[in-house]
Amino acid sequence: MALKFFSPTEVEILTALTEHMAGIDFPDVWKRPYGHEAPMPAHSPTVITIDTFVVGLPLSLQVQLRRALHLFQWGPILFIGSLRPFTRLSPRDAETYIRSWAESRFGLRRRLFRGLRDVTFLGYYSQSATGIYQTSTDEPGAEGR
Amino acid sequence: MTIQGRDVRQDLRETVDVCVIGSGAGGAVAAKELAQAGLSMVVLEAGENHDPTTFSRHMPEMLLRLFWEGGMRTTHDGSVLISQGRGVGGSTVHNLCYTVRTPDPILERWETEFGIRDLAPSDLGPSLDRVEVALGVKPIREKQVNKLNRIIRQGCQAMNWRGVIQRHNRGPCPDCSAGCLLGCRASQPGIGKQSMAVSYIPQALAAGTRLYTDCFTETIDVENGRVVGATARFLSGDMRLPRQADTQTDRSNDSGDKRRREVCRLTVRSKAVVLAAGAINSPQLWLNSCLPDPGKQVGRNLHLHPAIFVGGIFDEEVDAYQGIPQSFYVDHFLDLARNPDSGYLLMPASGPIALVAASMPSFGREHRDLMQSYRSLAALLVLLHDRSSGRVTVNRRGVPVIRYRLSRADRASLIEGLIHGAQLLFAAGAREITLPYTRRIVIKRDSDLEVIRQRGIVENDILIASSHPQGTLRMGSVPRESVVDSYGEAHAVKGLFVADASLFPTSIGIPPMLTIAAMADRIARRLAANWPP
Repeated sequence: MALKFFSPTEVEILTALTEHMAGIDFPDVWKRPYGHEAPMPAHSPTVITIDTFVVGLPLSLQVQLRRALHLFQWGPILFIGSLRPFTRLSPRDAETYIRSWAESRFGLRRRLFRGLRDVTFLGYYSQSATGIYQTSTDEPGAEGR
Repeated sequence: MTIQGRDVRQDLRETVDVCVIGSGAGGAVAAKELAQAGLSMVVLEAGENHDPTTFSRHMPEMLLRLFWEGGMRTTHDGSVLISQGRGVGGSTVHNLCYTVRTPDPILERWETEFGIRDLAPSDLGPSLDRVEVALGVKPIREKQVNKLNRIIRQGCQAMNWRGVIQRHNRGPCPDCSAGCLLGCRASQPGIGKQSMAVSYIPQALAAGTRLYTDCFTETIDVENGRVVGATARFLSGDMRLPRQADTQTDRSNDSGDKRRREVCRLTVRSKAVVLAAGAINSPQLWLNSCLPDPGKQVGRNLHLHPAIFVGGIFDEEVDAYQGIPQSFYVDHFLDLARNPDSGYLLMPASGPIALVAASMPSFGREHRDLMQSYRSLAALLVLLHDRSSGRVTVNRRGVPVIRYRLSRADRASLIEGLIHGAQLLFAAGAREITLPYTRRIVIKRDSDLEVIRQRGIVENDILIASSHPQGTLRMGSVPRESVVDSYGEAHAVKGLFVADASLFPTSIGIPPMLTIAAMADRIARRLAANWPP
């Protein structure tokens, strides 16, 4: 499925971000969907959901999200002294790096962390596959009948 | 008659007695009352005309359909998430149906401190009665109280605090669940959630009102100090997406985007305009219209009823998403007779799993482990009756900018509320408390609660949400201290009335739907009785 908002680089950032935020491992096919030899890009349902959602947001929020993703990608150089971008960090470094955003003394970094976290959770936890945590919100509640 | 903006292909013009802007708890009531009084009416609604049978439980889709800015509207520093409904019925489509009458001490305070006439409890009583009948308000029966609410009540009783089963505006509902927050699929007259879309709006339409949807009002038009109508544009076809078109005015549309120049407009000429677009969009429209504001009060006095989530993890399954989400609340800490400007409610909280995920602390494996407890989670909201006040302004593109900062006293109240909420959950049997801080703090016994004081309330360190913005065009008898008079008419613009939560002179402290509707009833009836304005 073609995406309407995110570029290939942004898909890669978002996929890595979702994995780290939600504490999951996506299949490899979703992690590097734009390899030179890849005939057809594959995207995780989470990325597709977020892409569809973001297209419906006001322009100002779209711009903020895009900037936040790129800042997050290249932030390791600024914030933890690593020359690797976020998507190339080891899992341990990635966690340290994300935590540096979550617990930053700068309100703006905490805000961006929250925004990115909430968007990835919205995408990930809206998938039916995550319904393992519940019976179903679609089920009518007996008490309400 | 309903005209959907997406179907409009040419500029339109209407000449009517009254133009109502917004179709939520205030606008719908005003439209119905004025139309039934024999006045010719149009209602302009920026959002869509929802068909409840198409509501899904897919949260991203419903956020875009039911909420301004896809539910992502925040204060300018991102510290408070503000959810406000858009579309026919406004926030009454997604709210959780608490129908609480305006507390007498609040009305008495508004009357004595702000000089508002004819707003004693006995004056507003008939309007509240009429609204309750129209919305089918009735007590929630014991068998409708779900397990989450029973647990909260049990904890409240164990703490020997005051709490009460509330009333609601629902008919028999085959679809009651936490999905209520994403719109009721069963909603129709007499069945399911009785939002404005299925109660007042059909009556307004039956009385001859013309309802324009996907129709964003850009300006209220004034000549010689008197309102003469409004100008709107239709969000038709591709214009509906991307939705940034919805919140911006013409000043933003100079980017050369050809689609934007093809927009069709609606020009309304009317003797009166009733502004009921909510406490963020109403001042936005006022400011974008460059209306007079001699007291410099427009947009000020913003109260948000900030709310923070407190979760309790239990050994047993709670399945909070089943049944009516909110039926009980603890009002022990909201004693308005003794303390009219502070306090808080403790209200049950449940929602779609994506919303609960955002309310959980941390990230990664730690967050995922907490989410494993989803079915065993019983949660509360601490809903603050805030003294802090903020301000709505507009930027150069006409987009609202919301500034709000919690006062020291309100931070202290929220911390106290979090501690009391945690104590209640422990008393009900919770084995661990979870709070929406970015870093998880482990609270497994009463003695751990001190850590909440140490952590405090810091912007963007803890999730703060608001569903009840209010007060930005407040009522009062003194023009330099208020925007509208005792009957909702602007001090500085003849024929312009306000009928939404913007009117409130102070925070109201309770879920405001019934008060908004009753105030709109009162304003509309007086307008009809004294026609023309």
